[in-house]
Amino acid sequence: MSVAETEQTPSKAMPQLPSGVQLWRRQTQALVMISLRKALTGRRSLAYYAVAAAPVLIMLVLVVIKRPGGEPLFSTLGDARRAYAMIFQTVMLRGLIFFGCVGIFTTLFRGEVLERSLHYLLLSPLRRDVMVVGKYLAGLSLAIFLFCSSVMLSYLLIYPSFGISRALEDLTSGPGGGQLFAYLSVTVLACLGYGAVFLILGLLFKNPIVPAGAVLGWESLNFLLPPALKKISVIHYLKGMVPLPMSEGPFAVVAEPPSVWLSVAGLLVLTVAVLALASFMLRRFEIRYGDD
Amino acid sequence: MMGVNDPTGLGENSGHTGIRLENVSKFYGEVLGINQVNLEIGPGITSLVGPNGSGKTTLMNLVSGLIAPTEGRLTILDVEPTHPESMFRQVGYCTQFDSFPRGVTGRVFVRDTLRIHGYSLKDADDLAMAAIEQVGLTKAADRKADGYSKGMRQRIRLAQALAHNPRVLVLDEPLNGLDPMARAEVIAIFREKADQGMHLLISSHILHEVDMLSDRVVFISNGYIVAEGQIEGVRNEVTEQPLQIYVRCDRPAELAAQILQRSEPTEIQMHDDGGGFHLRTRRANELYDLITELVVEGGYRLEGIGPADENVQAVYQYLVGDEGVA
Repeated sequence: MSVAETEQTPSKAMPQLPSGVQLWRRQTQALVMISLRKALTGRRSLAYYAVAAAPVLIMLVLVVIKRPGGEPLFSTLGDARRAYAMIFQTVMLRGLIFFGCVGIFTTLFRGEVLERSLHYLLLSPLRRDVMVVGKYLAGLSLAIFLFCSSVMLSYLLIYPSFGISRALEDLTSGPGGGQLFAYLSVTVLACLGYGAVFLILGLLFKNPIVPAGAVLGWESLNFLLPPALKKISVIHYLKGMVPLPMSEGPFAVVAEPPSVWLSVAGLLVLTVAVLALASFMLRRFEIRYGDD
Repeated sequence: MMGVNDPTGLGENSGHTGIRLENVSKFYGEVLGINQVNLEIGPGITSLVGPNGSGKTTLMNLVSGLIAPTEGRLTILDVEPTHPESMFRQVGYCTQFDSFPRGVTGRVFVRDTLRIHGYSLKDADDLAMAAIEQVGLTKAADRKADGYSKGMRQRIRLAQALAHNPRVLVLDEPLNGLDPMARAEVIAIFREKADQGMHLLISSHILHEVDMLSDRVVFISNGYIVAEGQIEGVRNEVTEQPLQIYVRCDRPAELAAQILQRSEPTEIQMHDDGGGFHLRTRRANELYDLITELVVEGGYRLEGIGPADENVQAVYQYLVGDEGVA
């Protein structure tokens, strides 16, 4: 028997910790910083950068390409805006931002399980809801940083054919500034909504790619759905906010797009509900990396 | 199940509940992890031994809250694992597994955990360095952790588990990969922490080390606790196996013959070098008295006498067999 004392003697004076909201804020901040550092320097970071760079490269190609007579591809700023609107809604919103969010948010928890590192978090004195919020904010910050940078840079590439003064005029006193703001807002809301959906898929499924494919199908077929079902999708709330809406073809079921405020509120409600569900699930989450 | 109540002599009176499992079972679908486990672990070092697949890791994971019991109740210092924000202020867990984010140094690895606890950057850094110093990794603190040797990885994980000064430390195979010097250092840390009143639960398959460092041992096999307590107590309760005693003296054959005349040992086996013998008996106390009497009467020069199988290795063999241990 070598247990000499009944009460543990502290071997060092421990610094004081804050309590309540201040503690949660500090823990969330730490979690966001650590997760962001991991995402930006980890193995997947190159894929994220490539996805974010793709629209910029597409726009660069369109700027460089000339018509047979040597004329630029976009003869008017209106043509350039319409081309950008098409690229934004097809390639970016339904493609790159969607898949980028799949990559970023499904790996927030599932990626940690695969890397055998989730236990470091689960063994921390961290409320599960704080953990979910911290992880989600880390994913959201990364997605917004990547895709908003991408949107901004690619949007500015509609101007080179028209000169700097025209560009400045359009951005400051013309419709350009408002459209850019709208595209950035839609991007932020897309990250918010898709982020929440894919975070929960990463918790629910060992391989979230298949359910993510199902979500892609649902979102893509949104134009065919009856108005009531359209509301159960992220894209429905985003479509009404894009500055130059595209035609959805002759088979589309037409529905009145929701107002901007309803869109924002709807996506926020979806996000809060999904994060609450994720916190609930995380409280029951078990990890077993190996057998006895 | 055999048991020796409160083998440390402190658990019941110390006011610490320690680690308490009440009828805890864990099933993975239809596969048994552990079944109907009742266990109280007080301050000091408690080792968990059992073969692969016996339920050791299940028990460790339950205690750390990584998995939830299918049935029963588990508390650590009166807190249930469903309250991680309270429990993990008091618990440190050093798993077998590690994964270091790319480019992160040992110092940052430990510091990050403390920052998630809520410590400021400076406090976290100070505590991290104190823990790293404790495990003897100061010089390597600013090297990338994914480039550490197996022993260094083990030590940095230990630093991480210790850094917030927990009252309960759960360690899954903590001596794996350590060289003899490092093992001695780590065991000394465990001893120091145990002496300060910390509850340490260690799983290990290296039985001679378990013997050396444990205050009490929990034997687990096929998901059941087969015995627990101080090793002497557990050995005494393995009544179906006669106790083995060794005697080293001059004229061992003569002494053995006298013992045979006056007692009924189950078995006597002379040592190959002729300098002593082993005997097995179900009445150890009587036999010790007899040997003492014979030694005095016959003027034997006694070199050594004592139990030969009052150790974890022997008890493990009696209870579990010789599967999966070193």
